[in-house]
Amino acid sequence: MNILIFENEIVEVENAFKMLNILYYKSKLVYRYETSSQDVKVEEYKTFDLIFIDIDLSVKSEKDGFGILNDIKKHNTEILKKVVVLTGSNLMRKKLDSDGYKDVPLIQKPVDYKDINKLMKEKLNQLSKNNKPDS
Amino acid sequence: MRYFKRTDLIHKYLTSVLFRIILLSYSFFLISIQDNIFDFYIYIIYFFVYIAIYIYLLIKKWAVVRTVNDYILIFIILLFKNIYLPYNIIFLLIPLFNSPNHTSEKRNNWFLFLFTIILFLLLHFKNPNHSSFDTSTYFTLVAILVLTIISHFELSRARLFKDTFNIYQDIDDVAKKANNTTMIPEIYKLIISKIKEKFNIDIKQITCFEVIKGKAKIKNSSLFVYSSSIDSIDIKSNLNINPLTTKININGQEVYNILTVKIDKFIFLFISDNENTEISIRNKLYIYEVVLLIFEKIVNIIENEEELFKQKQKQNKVLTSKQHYVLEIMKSTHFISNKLGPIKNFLTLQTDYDNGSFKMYDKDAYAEIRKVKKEETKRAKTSLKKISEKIDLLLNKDANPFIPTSVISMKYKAIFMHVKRIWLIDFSENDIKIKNATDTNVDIKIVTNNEVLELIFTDLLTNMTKYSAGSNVLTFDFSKDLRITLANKIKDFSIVYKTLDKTVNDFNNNNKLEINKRNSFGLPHVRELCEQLNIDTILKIDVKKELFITELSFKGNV
Repeated sequence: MNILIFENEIVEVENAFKMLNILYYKSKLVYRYETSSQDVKVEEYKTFDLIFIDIDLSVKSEKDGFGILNDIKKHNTEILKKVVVLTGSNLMRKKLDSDGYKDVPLIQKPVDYKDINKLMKEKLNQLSKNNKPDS
Repeated sequence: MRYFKRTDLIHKYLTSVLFRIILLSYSFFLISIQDNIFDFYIYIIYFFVYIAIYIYLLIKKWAVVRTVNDYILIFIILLFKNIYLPYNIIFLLIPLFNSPNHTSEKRNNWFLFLFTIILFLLLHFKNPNHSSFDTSTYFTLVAILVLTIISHFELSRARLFKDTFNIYQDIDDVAKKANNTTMIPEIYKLIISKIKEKFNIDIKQITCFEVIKGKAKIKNSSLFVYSSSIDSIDIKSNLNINPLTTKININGQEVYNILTVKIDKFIFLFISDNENTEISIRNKLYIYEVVLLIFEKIVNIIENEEELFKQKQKQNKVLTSKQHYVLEIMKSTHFISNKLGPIKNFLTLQTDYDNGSFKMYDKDAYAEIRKVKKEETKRAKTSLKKISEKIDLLLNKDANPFIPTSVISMKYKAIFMHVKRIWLIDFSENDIKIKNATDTNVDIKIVTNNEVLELIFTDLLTNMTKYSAGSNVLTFDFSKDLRITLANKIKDFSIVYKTLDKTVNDFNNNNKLEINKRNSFGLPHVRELCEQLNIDTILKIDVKKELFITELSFKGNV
């Protein structure tokens, strides 16, 4: 499973994701960490099974988390279903809702591997339900 | 302005009634001392008819007909009497003397003149002793004319004041509608429309310049000015009324200054598009006299607005630094949330490890877990260190704009006035007691901070309004150390006494200050503020009188 993580301070979450991989996914998760929006082309997003986006990215980044979300929305709204926002600010939920990202889940830092696992399980269940053909 | 006009009108109505009383009394005097054509009782009946007509006309507000009614009375009284007798001619001239008190908006002296002349001629011909014109006839006619002319001058002056007042009233209306934006351009537009209405003079705009170091800088204008050549003109100090002779260019167009009003450092230019716009000297003086008063008011508005703007800017600077501080705190919580990540993850990892939750994993995975755990321990330690550094920065008092750093020297009497003003918001002046107030004592100076003083007394007096059962007293003791005491009767004394006693003991306990600060915000916060200003604070309870007492002693006289 390919997971894309946009994160300004990778060291703050890296080990939580590592533990998640070892404990719950038999090290089968493949992570790609990026600190700037321009490091991933918008066409590449569909190749990932899940995308974690921190709102506050590197100063070198051309766009912040909202900019990335807007790009995804413009390019392909279906990809938004794979997105999880990872942020340290509790004010972001309001902004996400007002910007039209009510369905995008948010996980607030600080996080450990259990928090991420819980959210991932829910998200993957949701995605698998959506992918099931109508009976 | 409206109040003033109303007062003037009431005064005029009272004078109108008084004038008729004088007219009737004088009539009675004249018929008493002279031979009359009618019987005495007929005059008396006529007096009542006259009064009835007057009251009717007063209700109907027919001022001109009221004057006609007066002249009929004068005519009937003076009929067949010698009009050349001083007391008779004075009676005829009374309406002219009373002319300034006319309530009518359409007051016209020539109308009075005409009536007086007609009446005089009628009475002259009905006079048994003077049938033909002689010197005294001409003299009287000239005297009536001169009196009318003098009265006319007075009328012109009264109209000037009336017009000024009307414009003033309109300005007041504009000023009332004003919001945050400046109302001055609206006032200029109003003046322009009034000048057009009254003199048919087209004024394009009124623009105000402020003279700074001999150069005129645009201050405000009835029309937006984005460029002007006036700043290159050297302004003479004696400039007034006469327009600038130099050509002016405003917004790229050549315009003409037709009238100038200079008040202090402000110059108001009346600008026309037309080079041939001419104002007669009389109109120029008239406009000048009317607008001078208004522009003096505008100068006050400009100066007040400038002062307010300066104050606002000062406040904004303080507010901005506080806003930055709050934003910094918000950013810091974000930073701490991020840094807590490795710590939280480490704690979960350690707990699972201690509980043996990882024993089920194979050797390779277990080794991997141990490796991650070791790495996370290091990162958790680094995070803790960074959080500590951040907290140190936040707790640094120098960086906190809510803690005052500037102090000023204030006299005891200034502190008294400051505290009194806050006290009077909720309490009575009668409850302020003063001790040892001598000329020397009240002038003792102390180094303090106004804003913090306000915070301290606002907090204390808010508590007083909440918890007092009445009997609130503020005492100023102007001894060498200024002592301010607040005392109030405690509400529900028997119920709250124990809690209050603990609060007082905690507050006064110098060995527990930091704990108090951490655990509550109210009174310990006041104490903290007092400490910043070097004010000793003590709380007391007078059990007998059921009083809660706060004593503040100011130290460090200079």
